[in-house]
Amino acid sequence: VSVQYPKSRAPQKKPGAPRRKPIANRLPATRWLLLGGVGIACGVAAILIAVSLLGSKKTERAAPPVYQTAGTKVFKGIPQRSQLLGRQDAPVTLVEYADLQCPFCRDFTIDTLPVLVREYVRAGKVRVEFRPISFIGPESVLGTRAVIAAGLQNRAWNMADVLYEQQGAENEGWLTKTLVRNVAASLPDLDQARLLSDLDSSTVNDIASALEANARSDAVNETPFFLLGKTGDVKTRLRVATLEPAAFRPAIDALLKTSSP
Amino acid sequence: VNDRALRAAGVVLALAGLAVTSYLTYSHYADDQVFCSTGGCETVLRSRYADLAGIPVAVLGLAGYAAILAALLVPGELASLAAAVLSTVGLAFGVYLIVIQVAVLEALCQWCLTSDGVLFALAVLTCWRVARFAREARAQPELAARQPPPPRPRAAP
Repeated sequence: VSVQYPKSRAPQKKPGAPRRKPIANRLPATRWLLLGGVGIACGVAAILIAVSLLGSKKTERAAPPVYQTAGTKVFKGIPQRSQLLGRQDAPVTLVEYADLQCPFCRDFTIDTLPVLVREYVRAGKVRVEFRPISFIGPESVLGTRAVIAAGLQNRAWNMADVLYEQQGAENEGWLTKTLVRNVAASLPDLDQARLLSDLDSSTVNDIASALEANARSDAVNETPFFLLGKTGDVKTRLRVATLEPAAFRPAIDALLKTSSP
Repeated sequence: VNDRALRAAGVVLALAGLAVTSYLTYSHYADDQVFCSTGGCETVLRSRYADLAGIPVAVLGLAGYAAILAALLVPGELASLAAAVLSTVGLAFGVYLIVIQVAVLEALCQWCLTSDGVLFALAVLTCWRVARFAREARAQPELAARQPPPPRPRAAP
């Protein structure tokens, strides 16, 4: 007796049946489908993780710049509180309205201030108040906020000093958040994360608004703009012919003479 | 739960992921600070792990969620398999980034964790869909016919 076997193991097509079966029926069994999917997913994820780890090592070598400036030495050991540099009980106060984009303000802070600090501030005779205002353009706003935010950590002068060192042409894109972030990371005793979160805070907003209001009431029409007076008294405008230290000494010395007991 | 409901839930999750990664992408290119209640967002988002071969991870996430959304909107088993693979890749990479946040950076970013949560839910949901499709396929009579035939009976002498 012989048995008839079908020629093919596959079932015979019924007449009128679709030519292709549904995709689901052509997929392998559940287990293989899931394993295949998980395998592909794990493979791709492993590649992504490897690229991330390798990339992070490369980035580690290209670390952000660290800014070291003369200001680190100039201000070292001198008390700072908010925008003030020098002892709180110093008999004379010099106020400077400045814009971080202003080249003359830069010259004063980098060239003149170290001399005045050495002669008067370190000796406890004078304290200097930095009042940043946004006078020149949109980039000045970020500079003002950065200095005020650093002032909340008593490092306003250090921030201003390093930003002045990096100063570029007005409103041409030099004063960026990246710069502020890197400067904040470079400054010792400054909490970068705190500074960045303070940058857009209402506290910094309020101080910036108050400083702009002060500038209006003091009729500030240029930067740098100086006020000088005894600490606690009303300050008057100090007009200087040049930004050399010699231009500041006579007025300061005269005030110190009248302040001494 | 029918497939339509699973797809709808997946679409909502993918849109949530798109919203989170859009915000992170915007803040990256606008050089803006993100709102952060965990305090570590800036540390994480500015870290050396925030870029993958020069492409911000936020942008990769945005593209990933867009692809998952597209795969969910297309009907069919292969599209559901693609959505499951994409979600699982995203989840695996998300777990790696959580490990980096905790062990290396020691800072947590709430937006990244939100995205990881969305990816976890998407991975579960899309894998469930694939498993359902596969079960249905196995239950089809045509597929049963693909099983090996029974042993051939011996011919009588």
